[in-house]
Amino acid sequence: MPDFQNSSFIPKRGPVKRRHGGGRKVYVFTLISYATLFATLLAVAAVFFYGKYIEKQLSDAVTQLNTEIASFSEEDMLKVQDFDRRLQQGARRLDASVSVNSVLTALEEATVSSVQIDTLSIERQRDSQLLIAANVRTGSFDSTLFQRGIFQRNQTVGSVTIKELETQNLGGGSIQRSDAEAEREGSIIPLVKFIAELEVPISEIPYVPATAVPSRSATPVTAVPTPIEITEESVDVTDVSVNQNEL
Amino acid sequence: MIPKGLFTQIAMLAVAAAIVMTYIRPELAGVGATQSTIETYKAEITKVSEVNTQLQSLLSKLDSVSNDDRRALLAYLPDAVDEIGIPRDLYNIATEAGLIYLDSAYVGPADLGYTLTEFERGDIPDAHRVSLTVEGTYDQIKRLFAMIERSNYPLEIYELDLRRINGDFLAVELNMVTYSYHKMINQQVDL
Repeated sequence: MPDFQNSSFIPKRGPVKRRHGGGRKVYVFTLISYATLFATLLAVAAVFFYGKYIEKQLSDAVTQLNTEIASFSEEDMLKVQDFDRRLQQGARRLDASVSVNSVLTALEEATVSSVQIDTLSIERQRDSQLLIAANVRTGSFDSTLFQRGIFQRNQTVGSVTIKELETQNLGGGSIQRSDAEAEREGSIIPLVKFIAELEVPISEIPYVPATAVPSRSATPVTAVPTPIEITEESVDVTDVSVNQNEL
Repeated sequence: MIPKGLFTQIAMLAVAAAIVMTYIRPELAGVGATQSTIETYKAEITKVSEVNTQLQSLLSKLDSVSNDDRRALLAYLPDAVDEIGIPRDLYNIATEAGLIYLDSAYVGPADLGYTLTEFERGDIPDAHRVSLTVEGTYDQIKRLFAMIERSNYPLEIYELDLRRINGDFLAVELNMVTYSYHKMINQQVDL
């Protein structure tokens, strides 16, 4: 018979067996919070190192720019500028070179045989034009008009002005002079004197280095040269090395 | 009552947000600004490099100019006119042309009426007046003009007076202008 005096009245149960491999609950919020924190820490590291890399790039760019600036030579630049400026100034004067011989040649070809030029003056107005003033004497008004027409039709001459017209012995009388005086003065008895003022654009009379005479000329109107407009077939230009302007 | 685990997670999120706001965002903004600066520097490097290349190219062209050409340019437009050499040259020209030499002289600087701006731009050389007086025939005078035109340096005839003296003999008075190089201020360079 069981001994009821030494045992509990509560029925004993066997040892509780725990079930292994059972489901553990993972909360999403937990994952998010942990992932966020770790991602942030990684981002901090990445930003830190990227910042250092960019700073190094900036430093390299600054160094490279300083190197390029240092390699620029101001002295060389001034040298080039000086040479260029000297060339420009010289070219400008060369382009404005005028052939005075071409002016004389044009006058020769535009002066009729019955006209005599006593004095001739030429004045240059910078690089725009030449003002030519010729004291002319001729035998009649017809010659004067004819000469003016020749000047006006001349391609080289820009404008012609006849002024200070003086006449002598146009009333039909002859000048009371001796044969010696007539011979000394030439066969032309001065009856009409005037000043012819001509304006010649400099662009019409450029100096052409290859030749000593101008390329343009008016149509010849006379074959008889006057004392001051002696026309030669060629101008004998001696090729002499002058202007040894050694500085 | 908030569970302890939930509080920790919230705290982690808060710390992450604080790190983003206080460090990552400002740092990224700084990196962006630095990158813009780098682009600017690169653009300037390109410009300076182009200038250096062009300068070297021009310098090469300058070095390729022959010494004869340099001398010719210096003779045509010297740094300063020779106040004795020019009258001597005019004497030589007149003599070579067969004329009777009477007088020649260096008169002085000439004011041709150019504006100060034109001088400041470096377009105009300095002008100097010289004079020459000779006598001779018409052919000789034309020969004189031809030789003046062929001079190694500019001799521009600004005033010419031609008058007959006796028969075919003429007198000529010439006022001419020659030039020297107009150097810009604060420029000292040897060609």
